[in-house]
Amino acid sequence: MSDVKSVAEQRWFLPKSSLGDLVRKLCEQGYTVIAPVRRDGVITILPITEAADIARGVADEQDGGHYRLHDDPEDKYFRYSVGPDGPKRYFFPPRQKLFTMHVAGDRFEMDTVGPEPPKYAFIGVRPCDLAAIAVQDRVFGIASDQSTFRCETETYYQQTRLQSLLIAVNCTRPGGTCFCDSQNTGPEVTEHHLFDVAMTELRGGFVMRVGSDKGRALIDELPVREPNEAELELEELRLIRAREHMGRSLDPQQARDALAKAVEHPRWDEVAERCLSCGNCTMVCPTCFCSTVTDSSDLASNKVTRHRQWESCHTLAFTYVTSGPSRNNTRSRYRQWLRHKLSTWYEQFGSSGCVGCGRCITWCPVGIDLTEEAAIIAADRTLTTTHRSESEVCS
Amino acid sequence: MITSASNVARAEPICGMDAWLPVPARIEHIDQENFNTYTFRLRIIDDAIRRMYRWAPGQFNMLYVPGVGEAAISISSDPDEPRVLEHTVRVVGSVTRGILDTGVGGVIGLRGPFGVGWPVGNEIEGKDIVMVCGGIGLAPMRPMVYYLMKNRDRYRRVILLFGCRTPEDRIYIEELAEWEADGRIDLLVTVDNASGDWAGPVGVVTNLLRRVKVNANQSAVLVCGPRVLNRAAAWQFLQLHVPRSHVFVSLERNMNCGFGRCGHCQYGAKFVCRDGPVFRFSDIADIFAKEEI
Amino acid sequence: MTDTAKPKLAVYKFSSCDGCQLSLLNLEDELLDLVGAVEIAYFLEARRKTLPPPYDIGLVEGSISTPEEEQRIHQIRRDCKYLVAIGACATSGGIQALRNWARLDDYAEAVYAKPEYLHTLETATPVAAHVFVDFELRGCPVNAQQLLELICAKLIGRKPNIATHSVCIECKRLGYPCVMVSASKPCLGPITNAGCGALCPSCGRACYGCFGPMEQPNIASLGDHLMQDQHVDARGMKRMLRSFNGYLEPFKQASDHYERLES
Repeated sequence: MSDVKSVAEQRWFLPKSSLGDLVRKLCEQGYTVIAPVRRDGVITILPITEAADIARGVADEQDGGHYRLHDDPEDKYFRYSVGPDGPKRYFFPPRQKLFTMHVAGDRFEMDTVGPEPPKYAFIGVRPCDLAAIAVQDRVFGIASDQSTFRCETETYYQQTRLQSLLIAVNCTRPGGTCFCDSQNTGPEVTEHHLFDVAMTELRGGFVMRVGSDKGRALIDELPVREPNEAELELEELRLIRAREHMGRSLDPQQARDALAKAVEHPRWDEVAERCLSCGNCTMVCPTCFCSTVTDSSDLASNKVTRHRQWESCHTLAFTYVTSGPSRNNTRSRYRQWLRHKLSTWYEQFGSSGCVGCGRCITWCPVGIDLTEEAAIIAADRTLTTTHRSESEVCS
Repeated sequence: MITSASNVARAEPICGMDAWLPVPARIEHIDQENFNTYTFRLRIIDDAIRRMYRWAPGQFNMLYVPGVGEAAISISSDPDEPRVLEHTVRVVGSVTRGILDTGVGGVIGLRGPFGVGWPVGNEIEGKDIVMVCGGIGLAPMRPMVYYLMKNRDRYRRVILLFGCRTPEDRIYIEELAEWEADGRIDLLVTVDNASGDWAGPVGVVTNLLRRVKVNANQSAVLVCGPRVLNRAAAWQFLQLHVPRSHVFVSLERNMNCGFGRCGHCQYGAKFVCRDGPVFRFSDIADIFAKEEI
Repeated sequence: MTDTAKPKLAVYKFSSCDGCQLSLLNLEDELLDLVGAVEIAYFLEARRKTLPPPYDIGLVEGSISTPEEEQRIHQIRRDCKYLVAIGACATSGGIQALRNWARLDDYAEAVYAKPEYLHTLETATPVAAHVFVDFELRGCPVNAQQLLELICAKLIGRKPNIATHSVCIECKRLGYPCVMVSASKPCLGPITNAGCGALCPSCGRACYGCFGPMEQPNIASLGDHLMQDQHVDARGMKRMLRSFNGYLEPFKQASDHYERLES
């Protein structure tokens, strides 16, 4: 065991000029390499074939409903924080076929063959997104006991996830809407994260450490050297400074307790005035997992198909039953989203549903800030008990 | 057969190989219950799957009309004969219309059973059982009635209160008469509006509570109806000092997957499809009376 | 030879540009299957031969803008079992409904040399303002795949998969960068009905609302934001809302609100 510990503490240094070796090595090993790319004014994560594809020399500016990229004098790779997309769409695709079927008398001739689960290597995954992957792992049946129900979509998730390689990068320049520090999910990769390799970018290269055997094996194939004292000190300094530059903060325990109690609260009316019910927050959230199944058929009504696609709890159709939608107004839909994310998620999956990436704040067209909403509700001292007296039950 | 002595009744889904994939089932028989409600008797076509199929009262299946869609429908037949599957369906949407249009002899898809059903075994044995149903809410309760009648000696009084809009809205009319004649359960039926030669009680189903003596500490209450009824009934039993933990309510929500993955049916921290549809009142007391949860 | 068992499809044109009918004809890959599945019984733009009513599915393009159209739509309703209004004109009155806020004579005189030959109504209105419609398919023009989904769904008895949520949801599913947040473009996506496949944002353009208002749109909040942060003035807001679907509530009401703010 002591050996394992020393490996966890061990550091390597990869010169910046050798990042291309890393990309090449991964491609050789059959991985589709996914990394941050600058495209159409945002940092998005896309398949790349060489290190030059990775966004470099660019920094972002994020605030509620605001995102801008600008050229950065420091010619570094990872000076930006997370863009709208995380690894979620690669494990849990926005639209996925469940089956195509033809009814032949008594039999359903099913075609359930989906695409072969791809082998992805992600470069530059932020600690918050690592935490988000761990959250979705619990939702989609890895590391949970919900194995009674097996299904193809889950198998796809699990296989894609388990054969993926995660090369994380520590955040040295958090964005304006980041609050991972207060969620204990960043800005530094820790032993609580699941990852293969983690790195910190310095001017001349990357200080690396490993989180798995796969990561260790990869390091052996790279032109690394031992980092010197100065490099290690600089890394530490960068990470301390990152913690001091969080754009937002949120006390998870306080939010959890307050929201459990705040089924009714005047703040819900207030936020409903601003909320557009557009669903952007749920689409960019790296942990949101809701989906809808849709049926389609060809013109001959002969071949029918079912798809599963990302859905948002902000739509009316989401809760539609014969008597109408269960959540018929913006107030109740926002409340559901926030209470689920920060409070009821614990009961369902044993953790918060929020990893502090700040995407929902940045990509809300009108800049609604969940940290602000949660803080205002948590500050309300009149929230005392979760249980109403029995006389109120049928009010 | 339900052998579980645990608090909740749950059977493994037959579609264990892939919970998204429906298995074909033939519609063997259709009974029209009222102007828009039908009972469909289904038979899973594959012998092996049919033999494996087990379920518990209060659980539901996702019934699938190819190319049209799926609907969550509770199972209404006798759990001791799991190879005969009855579903009582109100034909109000495209899927339920599709099931009816498929007709006797036709094939539809089935996934399930899903969810947690009514309490059975130790949980409620030796108690008075009070069942309160409104309209089609009797459908998920019928398996429970069969179960209680078969195990009648393990329970004290068994009371079934059933309310409908009009006498013509009643479902299982012949069976209601049989249950009444049988005498093993106390059955009271009321209608909101009397019509024809109706001579029974008139008024909402909760009014029937005045006619039965509820033994607060010795009762288990099972409620299934529209939201208004669920609330009114739960409220009245709590007023009668029945403990929250002895009141069980079946809820209706939008469902897509049936096994807690799609998120649609969330009710507070609960997934109604997986943690319900039957809930112990004390587990949902904080949100039960709230609007738009 | 006519297959009498096949459902009969009728396509009608009212005051419109033909774009929605063309969407149907543009379904090149599916056209053969379509004529295999339905009998094109009345579609003057596609087929000279017409079959007598009744028709199983009627698609109506265009708004009701003339006295003649006002009469004709009632007969069409009688002729079609399942009547669908397709496109912005048929579902909201369309671009020509802008005249509902103006004096018809002013417009007519500005456009036509001899306006006295015109026989038009004072207003251009959606089909649903005149007869009951079974379904409305939004868009200027309609999305061909949605049109196909509508027909396939009708043939098999499915409720059509036509979303009523915002454009943002499909925009994000497709992975397009948000032009509003990342480029401060005044985008109507958050209040506009999905269905186009986020066409404009996919080209870096702001959505201009051609699919009309989504379910329960919060126009006031978006308007406040656009006016504060992106310096759109009340007149700008009014003009954004009064385009293809300006006469459709709640765009209509909101545009009237911004008009009052103008003065």
